[in-house]
Amino acid sequence: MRILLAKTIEPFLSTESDRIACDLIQAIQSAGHFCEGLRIPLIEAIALSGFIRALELENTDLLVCLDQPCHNLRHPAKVLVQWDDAAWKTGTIQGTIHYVGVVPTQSHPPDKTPTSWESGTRRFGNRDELLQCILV
Amino acid sequence: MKIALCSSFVPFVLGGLRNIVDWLKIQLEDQGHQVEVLYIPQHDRSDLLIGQYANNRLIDLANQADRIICFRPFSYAIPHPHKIVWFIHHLRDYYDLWNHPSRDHPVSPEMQQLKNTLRELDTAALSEAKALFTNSRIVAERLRFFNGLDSEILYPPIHQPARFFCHSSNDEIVYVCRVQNHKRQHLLIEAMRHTKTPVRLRLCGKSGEEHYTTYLNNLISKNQLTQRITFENRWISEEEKAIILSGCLAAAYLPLDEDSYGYPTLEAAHSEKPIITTLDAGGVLEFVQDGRNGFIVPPDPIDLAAMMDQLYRKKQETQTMGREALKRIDELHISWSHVLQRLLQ
Repeated sequence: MRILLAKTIEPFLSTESDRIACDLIQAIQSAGHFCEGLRIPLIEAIALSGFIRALELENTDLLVCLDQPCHNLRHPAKVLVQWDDAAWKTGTIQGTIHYVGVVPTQSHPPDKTPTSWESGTRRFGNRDELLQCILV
Repeated sequence: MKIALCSSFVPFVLGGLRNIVDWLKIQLEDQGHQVEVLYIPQHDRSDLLIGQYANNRLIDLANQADRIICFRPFSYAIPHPHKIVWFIHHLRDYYDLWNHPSRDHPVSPEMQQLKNTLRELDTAALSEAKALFTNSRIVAERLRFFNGLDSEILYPPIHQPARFFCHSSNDEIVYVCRVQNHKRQHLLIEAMRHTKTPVRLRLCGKSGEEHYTTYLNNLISKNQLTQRITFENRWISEEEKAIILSGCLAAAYLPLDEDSYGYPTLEAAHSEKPIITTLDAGGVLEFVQDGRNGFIVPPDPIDLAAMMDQLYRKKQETQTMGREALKRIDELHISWSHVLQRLLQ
């Protein structure tokens, strides 16, 4: 699968969430998938939602949105990551996955594009669980 | 200095246009600069173009970056008081290929309007740049012709050129490049039917066009060339590439109307190998000088075959031409030190 990880960034600042995103990209690649990041520069809030909605993503099987403004990106198969704020402050990777157009019911081998997906949610309590949630 | 490198991209499509950005980032960071790379997704569908153009205008890096360097369309639309553009190509369907048979849009009044609007927007956005560079003479000429803008040619080097070397000279002409119809690997296979020496051919590269790969395989077997042509239809690592080039007789690069000389040309030159190309190869002709560091022939299998035979028969001269290819790199100032000096002036 070709998995695109989208997140907003503050140019020239390296944050904890950037580190997690890099780590996830490497982990997904290690699992045999194609994976790369889409880094959306934070711009004026009023413009940001329009900017994000106007982006057209092609050549991507699954879009993983790692933060809120990116949740609005358009794609038929999205995984939205919602972090638990309280856990985030303590450095814990914990939260909820929302599947949009994706069904977490079967494993998709790296060389196969999923064909039948639906919606749902799942909890994750650490990085490995998050990875599993993305790759199911 | 804080420098943002801005370009557009299609996810998971790799190659030269990304290399130029990613390799420049490494060079700038080596010089102590802080670099942020912004790739904005771009789709070439006609109904999305103006919206995407407008989207780039929303990106505001004025308070964050000391300067931005922009590459592919429409990243140069990003506003910034110190915008540098290293212009790689136009959206050619709306420029030099507007009347070309390969263009897949109908020439409707709406498309005519879109073409005019894009050209106006490009001219306005590019005019904002503090400095305007292009990656080849052919692109510079198009900028002058269509947009009325002068630019400086800044040839893109390859990353770590020292990894390429010349070790020996075997009987193979190699073509290391993505396997695609417009790269015309088929011309070399057809040429092999007409060669009169035992010269061999090695095609290396991954294909995104399955039908073309099938066509090439059929062409090889139909002409009973399997003993003389090696077709490695896979991704070749950089290390493998350097080794293959180090021992070959010569390299080939036959794209149709390429925007620049192409990295395969440069990789061959760093390996001290002459390059065979064709009269219609576009930017490759800025590097290859016929009879000096390679051969330029009509895109015809018989002409190509004659040159392949000549390279085989006159190995001494072939090796001399390889050394001339290496010299040509310096003549054209193809180096990262020159690139940095010009971009950071």
